[in-house]
Amino acid sequence: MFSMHLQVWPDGSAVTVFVLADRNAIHQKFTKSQLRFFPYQLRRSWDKQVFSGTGDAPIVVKNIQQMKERVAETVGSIGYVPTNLLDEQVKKLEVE
Amino acid sequence: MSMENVIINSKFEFPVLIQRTLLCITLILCLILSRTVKADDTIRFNGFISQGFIYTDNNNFYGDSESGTFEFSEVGFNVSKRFSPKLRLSSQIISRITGQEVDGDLDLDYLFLEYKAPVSSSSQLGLRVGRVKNLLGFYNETRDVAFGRPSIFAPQTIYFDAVRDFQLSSDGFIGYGEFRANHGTILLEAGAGHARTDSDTESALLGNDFDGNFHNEKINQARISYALNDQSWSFALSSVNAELNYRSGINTPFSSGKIDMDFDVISIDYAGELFLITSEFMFLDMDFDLQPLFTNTRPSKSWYLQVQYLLNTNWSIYVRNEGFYLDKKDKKGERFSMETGQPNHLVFAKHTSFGLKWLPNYNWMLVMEVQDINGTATLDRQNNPNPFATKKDWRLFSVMLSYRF
Repeated sequence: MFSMHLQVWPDGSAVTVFVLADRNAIHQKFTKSQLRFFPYQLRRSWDKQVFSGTGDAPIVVKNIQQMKERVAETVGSIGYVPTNLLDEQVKKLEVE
Repeated sequence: MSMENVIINSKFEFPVLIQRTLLCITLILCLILSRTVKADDTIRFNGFISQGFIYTDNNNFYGDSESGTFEFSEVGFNVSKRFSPKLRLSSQIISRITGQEVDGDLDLDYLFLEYKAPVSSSSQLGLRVGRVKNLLGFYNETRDVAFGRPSIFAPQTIYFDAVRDFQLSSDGFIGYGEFRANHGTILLEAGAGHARTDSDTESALLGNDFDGNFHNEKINQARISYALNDQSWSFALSSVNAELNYRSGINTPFSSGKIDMDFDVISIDYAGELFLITSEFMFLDMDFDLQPLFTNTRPSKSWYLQVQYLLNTNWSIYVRNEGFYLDKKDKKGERFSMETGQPNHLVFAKHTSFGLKWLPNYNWMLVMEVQDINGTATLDRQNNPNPFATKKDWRLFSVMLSYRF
């Protein structure tokens, strides 16, 4: 979903993705350790979809606080948060 | 500077300046619009603007580049609206100034309705209808945008400027299916429609804009892509076939007929931590049936290999080698020269390019590039109307500054 190819949840509702800026250290760590990509690979994939009209890029938020707020208020959205900053606002997703 | 040059320069400079000012104003308005409209998640705006400078020591590439030219500007704006999770409407308008006669006009790059739905947990099907980007190689869909190109110019040996509109998009439909397996994802795309042709296409293919016109221009296309899920390797096989029927006019020196064009492209890409390596090969067969003037079959061949080294997050350098042969059976152009009396270097082009890219943040990009070129097959006729005035060996230096939002 973070590559923005899959735009719909199994129940048919839309996926909204929030990320931090490409150069943000948390974004880079998440991308490399959880998604196993380099940040530039993601950006290339998003750019291709945005400039060909076949998809959207994720919404970039300024910081983790904004990330939590936006994910909490947007139905069907996903983002990422360092474990030590998790709280009741959002639901944690275990990645196998 | 000759009298002719002075007249041409002043003829283009004033209107070009007005056009650019109007485009900048339009872009600023779009930028303001995209910020003030409540950015609800279903509608997205993006825009971009690029300004370049080109200098060539021989031959003209986009305007009078032998004197150094700033006639290299691109502006674009796109909007994408999701009516429902599966239904999207996308549109992009661009305007380019590249030293051509129809410069600065607004061009509808694409405008399509797309329906895309998952059919299982690992596959989805979709359909795009309207003006769609053609399925050619890795970069055709994003070649209008500086941020979507691997260098300042999309590799000229495959992404031709001379028949740009025709290669870029067509009016029809593209259906596709995406299937995700353990290690990689396959994407199958196929479509058909009406090819876009204009007087530029005619000049490029026939050497002149005659008093007849293309009609019933058909295009069929397909592409198979395979990419590893870890985003390291990607492969694609593209095939575009166009049949351009031509209706001769009263003064056309040949009868009505058609031109068949078959583009076949093999694409390979490797994206690693430090290196980004891309290579594409194209076989283009052109079959002319316009008696008695154009009756040949031209099997063209072209390729490029680009290696980009990522110095760090912001800086990278690249080197690229590319080649184009208008007729792979006449690589040195000797037969062409014998048959037409024109210089043999018109039918081949070999480029070696070095570039430096700087992306200080998401919005800005600065690229500098130097090219050493042997042959003039990738030059366009409008900027180089006299084939005998072209020089076989030439160098191109360019800088381009781009901004996106």
